[in-house]
Amino acid sequence: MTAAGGVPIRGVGLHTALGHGRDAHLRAIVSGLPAAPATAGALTGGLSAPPPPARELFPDQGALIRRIDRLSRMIVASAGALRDELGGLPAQEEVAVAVGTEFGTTEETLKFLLRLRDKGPALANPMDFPNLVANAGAGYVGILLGLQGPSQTFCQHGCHGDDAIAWAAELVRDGGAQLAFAGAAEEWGGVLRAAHEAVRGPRWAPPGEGAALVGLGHAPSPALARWLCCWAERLPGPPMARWGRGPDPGPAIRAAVVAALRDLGARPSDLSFVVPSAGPAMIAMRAGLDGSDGDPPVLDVPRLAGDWSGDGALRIAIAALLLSNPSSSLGPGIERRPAPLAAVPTLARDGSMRVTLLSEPS
Amino acid sequence: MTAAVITGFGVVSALGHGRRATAEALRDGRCGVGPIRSFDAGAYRSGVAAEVNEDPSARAWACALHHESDLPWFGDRLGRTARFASWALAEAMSHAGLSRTDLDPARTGLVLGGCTAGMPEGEGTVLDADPEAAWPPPGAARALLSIPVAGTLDVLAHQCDVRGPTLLVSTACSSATHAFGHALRWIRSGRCDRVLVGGADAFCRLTHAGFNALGLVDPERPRPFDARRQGMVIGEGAALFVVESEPTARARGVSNKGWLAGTGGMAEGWHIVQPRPDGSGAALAMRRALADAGLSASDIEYVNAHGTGTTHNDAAEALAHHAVFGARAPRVPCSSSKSQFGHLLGASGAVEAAAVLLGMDGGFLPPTASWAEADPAIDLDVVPGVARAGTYGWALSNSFAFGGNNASVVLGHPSQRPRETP
Repeated sequence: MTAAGGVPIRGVGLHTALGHGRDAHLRAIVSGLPAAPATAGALTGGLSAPPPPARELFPDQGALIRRIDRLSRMIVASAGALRDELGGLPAQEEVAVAVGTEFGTTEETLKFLLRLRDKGPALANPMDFPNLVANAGAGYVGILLGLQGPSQTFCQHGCHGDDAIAWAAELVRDGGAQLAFAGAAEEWGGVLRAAHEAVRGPRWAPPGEGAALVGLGHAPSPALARWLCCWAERLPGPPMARWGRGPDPGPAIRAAVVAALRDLGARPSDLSFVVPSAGPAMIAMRAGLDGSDGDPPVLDVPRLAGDWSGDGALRIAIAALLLSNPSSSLGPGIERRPAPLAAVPTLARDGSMRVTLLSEPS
Repeated sequence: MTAAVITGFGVVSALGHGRRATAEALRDGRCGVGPIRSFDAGAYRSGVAAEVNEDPSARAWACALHHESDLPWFGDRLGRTARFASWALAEAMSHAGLSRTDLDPARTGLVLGGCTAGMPEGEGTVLDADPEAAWPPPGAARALLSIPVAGTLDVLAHQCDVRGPTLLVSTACSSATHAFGHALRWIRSGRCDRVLVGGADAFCRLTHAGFNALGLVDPERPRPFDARRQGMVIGEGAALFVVESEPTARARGVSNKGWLAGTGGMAEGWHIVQPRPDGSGAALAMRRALADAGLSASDIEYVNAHGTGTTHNDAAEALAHHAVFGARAPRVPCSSSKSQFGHLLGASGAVEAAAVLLGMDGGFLPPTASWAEADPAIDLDVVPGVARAGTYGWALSNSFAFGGNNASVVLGHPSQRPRETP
């Protein structure tokens, strides 16, 4: 098993309830202090992100930034932070973009529909409509950074951040791009809160929002970690299975992690830590993988930053940051194992499972 | 590198349900556009769309195919988008000679393109609600949960018990064409022996209002590449394909309905709605698809254009066509099936790929129906009016989207051989 075949992760762009940028997120990890929930306004009930500093990061593009929706601003702010970390970009055609989002911009969609209902089609705002497409965020990243490489947007029920990063990594590995901005974003608000309240089921972490991108491939900045693979499978069952009913997915999740490691010629003892999604994946990892060598410590990112669809991208980014800094703890009382790998298991609401494996940078 | 064979496909649109009805309509140059039936469009600039006719015969046809392929029949419990996708999938499975139990779940992938998903049902919770009443009204939250584009993916994954990789691509009008790229990637890498791939979208008030607001809609019918063109007309429907690795298809002796040979894509980094006027972004996507297929422009004998009928898109695409094909450009037929299907948004790449395959099989070039007056700035052989008898070995199908997200796919007649085979 070697990291030599892995795709380097050379930077992160993070904007969540924990703040903007890598330092804010590392501080939260080390301190173990979660973001404070919003107590007023449309973002009540969730862990909300601060206003994204999109205009500060793109000072010459104020006119465009004023027109884009909040979700796209979070994505663009993350892309700007990532751009600054990378220290330089290859030729425009060699930079790809991949962003995942499950719901897209729900608040802007609702506003558009309400205006349509109350004022009629003749007064529908043409400036608002393009922001409603799921790939608006990826599109604005391309426009603001002048990128002309491949561009994808994935929309699934929770593993689209993992998938966006996997697609980008494989694209770079196979020569389809030199560098890729990849990750996911989701926004919290009144629409999702209403849906959240209507759906019965266990709550494992407060709902959150944010945008997380990683830079994969070739850039001046040193590698934080290496992306090795993403194991993908789907558990059988009806659409939108609600956990708490049906068979325990824990064994399947543990088996997926072990299988992903085995494909690389690795073992659970090679894991320094794991960063699972909220709910069954978290429970499964805490129950342990393989007791013979001790189980890897578990980092609960959703407890800190909130649980949002596609947050696999955030967990992958945080895993990369931690792999680049072996002396950093995983939180109060959580010591990482001296081992070269990290696993990021995600179990989505529709039964899709992903296990992303990362290694130390060298 | 393993080659990818299309062993079956199904299509549902305003032109009819099924391959046979679609092929007849394509050949005759019929247009699926008509007055909007699904809501009162009196207040809109345009009152036309290309809506699917869900009459009892269509449902009976779909139900029989589900039964034949041993796929669960959910009937009206599904939203329109998922229903169209399910119908098209059932026809594709039947065409490929497969039933649900023939699929190896762990070695089967599923990738779809789409934009609207449950919006036709979900938007009603807002648009039809009493403005004076508190929001959300009862049932709205559950309806909103059906809006996410991945809902269609869920349904098909459950119907076929897919346990391999699944993806839902939502890059507006290029979604389904990108989906082909992922299917090809999984087949070539050996991750999957078989991939179910396609696109589905249903007509809804939100998209109709949005495109009307942008002034991109023709109030009568789409007239791609025509000097009098005023815009697009939204359509709805689905097309699904069974794509198998060549060894898998050969092992079970199923006939080849076409090669999925290559895809290419890029984002223009230019404007969220308008294409680059010089067509350079579109040309790059086309060249990347050709390179991925191991072909050159001289191999292409037909292009199924994005051809929305908008002023800017058609002009830019014509420039792209010339940039890619050079002196040959006027002799490489380039027609727009949106003149007949309407613009199916996220599903457009899928139904237009179906049109390409139907033309290959039927010995005709799909036409640009309703074309009548040449635009001096567009020097293309648009195959005007009705289909033209002829064959083509390799074809390119283009899809250009909001955000400048462009994608092209190369499809090959079964008589051809992909350039890279094991």
